[in-house]
Amino acid sequence: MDSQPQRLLLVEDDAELGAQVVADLKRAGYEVDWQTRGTAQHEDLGRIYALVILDLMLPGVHGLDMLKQLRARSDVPVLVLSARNETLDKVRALKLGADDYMTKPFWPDELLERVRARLRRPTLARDGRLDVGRLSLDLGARKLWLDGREIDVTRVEFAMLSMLAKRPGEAISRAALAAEALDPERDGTERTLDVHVSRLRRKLDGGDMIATVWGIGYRLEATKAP
Amino acid sequence: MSAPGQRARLRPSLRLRGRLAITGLALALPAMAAVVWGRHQYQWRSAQGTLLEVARARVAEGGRAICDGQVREWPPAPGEMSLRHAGGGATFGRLIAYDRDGKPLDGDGPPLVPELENAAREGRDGVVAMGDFGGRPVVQALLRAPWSDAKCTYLAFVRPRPAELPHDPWPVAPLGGAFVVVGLFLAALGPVVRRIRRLTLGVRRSAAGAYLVPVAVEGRDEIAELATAFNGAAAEVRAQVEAQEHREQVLRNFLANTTHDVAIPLTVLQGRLAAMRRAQQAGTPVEGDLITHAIEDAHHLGALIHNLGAAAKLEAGEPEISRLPVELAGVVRRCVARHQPLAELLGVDLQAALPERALHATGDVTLLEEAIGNVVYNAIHYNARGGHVAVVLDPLPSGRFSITIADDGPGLSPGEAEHLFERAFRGDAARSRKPQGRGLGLDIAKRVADVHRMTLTPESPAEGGLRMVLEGAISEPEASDTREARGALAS
Ligand SMILES: Nc1ncnc2c1ncn2[C@@H]1O[C@H](COP(=O)(O)OP(=O)(O)OP(=O)(O)O)[C@@H](O)[C@H]1O
Ligand SMILES: [Mg+2]
Repeated sequence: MDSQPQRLLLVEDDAELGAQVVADLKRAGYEVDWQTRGTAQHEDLGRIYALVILDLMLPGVHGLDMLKQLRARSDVPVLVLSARNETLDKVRALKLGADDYMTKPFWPDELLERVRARLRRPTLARDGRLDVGRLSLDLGARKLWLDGREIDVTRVEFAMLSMLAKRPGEAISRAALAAEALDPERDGTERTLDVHVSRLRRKLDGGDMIATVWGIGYRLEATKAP
Repeated sequence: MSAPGQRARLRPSLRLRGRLAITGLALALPAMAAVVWGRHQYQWRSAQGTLLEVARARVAEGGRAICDGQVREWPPAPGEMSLRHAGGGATFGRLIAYDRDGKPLDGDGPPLVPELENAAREGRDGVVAMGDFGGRPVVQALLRAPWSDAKCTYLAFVRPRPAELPHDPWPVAPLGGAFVVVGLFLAALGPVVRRIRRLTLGVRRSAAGAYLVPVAVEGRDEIAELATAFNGAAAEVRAQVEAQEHREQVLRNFLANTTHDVAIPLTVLQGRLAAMRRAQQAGTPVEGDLITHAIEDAHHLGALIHNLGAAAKLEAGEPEISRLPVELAGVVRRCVARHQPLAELLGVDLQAALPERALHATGDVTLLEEAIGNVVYNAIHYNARGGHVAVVLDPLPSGRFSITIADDGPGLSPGEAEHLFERAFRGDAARSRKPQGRGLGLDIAKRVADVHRMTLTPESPAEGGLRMVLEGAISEPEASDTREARGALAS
């Protein structure tokens, strides 16, 4: 991540809630601009902000109108806050190009997590290469490196790992992994998956890198390289 | 009822009769006139023929003498003419001689009527006209004298006008008849007008009574149809009013329930906050449990408010419930994100798994989030520290999807599954471990599933805990896809 803190725009008319959200975001390491009225949008906010948090019921320009104008000029992610819990508000916001919405009331942690999720960079798969934490995968050549050292893995192990690495930090169900990696004729069924995973873990430094997710399957931890 | 009301009620029917009278006359008069005029024309034609025949016979008999002035047919004293003088029967009448300009040869003779004088100057023969002869109505026929050497050029045959051939073709009697017919027609209209009046009265009464009393339908004609149509319209109005009243009742109940349901957990929360303040003032550390419970209370209050909103929407029924494409991964993500802070607080591991491709269902995104949220909330709420909750969205074969919410909490005691979805049902686990629920969550979840034609099924796995499975149909989203759907896997 850049050393420069990311800048966010909060548009929220309630003084107490706004102050609280600003404080939470600042504590999490973001820079925040806060405006308490809806305003007409004439410039590309994406050049200034990494994300916009937009309340809908605003004095001045209504949140949905602001969203529409903003979208006409910019691709900046927008997270909508809705207090009315009205289906049509939400549907309209998504149609107008909001990335997601949150319904009040919410816990500060929920907001922070949603902001982080929106700002998380998608894993880059340039020229068939995936870099996740300490791991590098060459999807075309089916090669794997751990901290730059090449690791020898089987076809099934590589297929599992690449599926996990495409969505780091997300749980992938055993059924999905089995469908992707196992050939039912040669490799057996879902039950043999655990055997493959434990072998792969051993090869990856005994690794807590692949976490077991209760009731679902596995997840590749999206930790940074040390 | 008031006098102005009475007058207002009478005026329209009088207007109706007046209009019918005018219409009747407007139609009857020209028709009568046409008949009278046609009859007159016919009679006149045949009378002309007869007259000319008689006239020619008389000219042949003794016309020459008259023409030459040998016989003076014209009486000496003008105005004292007796038409019967020259004979009776069909042939009575007199011949009088005229010159080429239509002037009497005998200077004192009666002049031709202007029409015949013109005909004479034009040299015509056998022209018939009506006129006055010494104040008496007559018909005259003008004939050319058939002799070239005679003194006169014309002979006119004059006789009294026959009674059936009045000079004025517009007699009063037939016109009076027309008025009588129209009058009778209007009188016959009386009962109809009275029925319309009764109908008007019925409509007013029905309107005054909120359209509860229908108007009476008499007979099977157009007026009866009008009454039936009114009853239909009244039923429509009544249905709309009832729907409106129902919505208002739902709103009133909602407000009453909200106040009651929110007041209790809020009081509990106030108690906890007061206890925290007491501890702080006494300088003793605030118990960790107290804060955890307070946070739980607050979360529960938020869920309760949303549930009451959902209940009101379900109660109000179909028009309030959206039927729009809903991106399911987004729904699951938001439900999990909403409950993650609570799960962390309670030491429960909450995880979700979403498929790679976007799945859509049709429905109301708020209700679906509420339903799934309630089940997720229960799975965390009734679990123990160190427990797990997994939420998995899967496409199923044959165009369906499933959202499974599994936990490793206490599960259901035998016999509890049947009552799970009843409002106000609270199981053993709930009563002993979490006293503050109201048994509203699953009732709403189930009803949301029902209105979406989805199924919500509890399963008790052998290894313990509870699995709740929501299943429904996948629908194709509309072409104008949202960013949310495109970016379903971006986070
Ligand atoms: N995951 C679960 N594990 C064990 N028991 C459960 C679970 N989910 C629901 N129950 C039982 O079902 C009952 C009804 O649940 P429901 O969500 O309808 O009401 P509640 O949680 O008691 O109250 P509310 O949701 O209105 O706050 C609960 O009281 C509990 O006994
Ligand atoms: Mg509940």
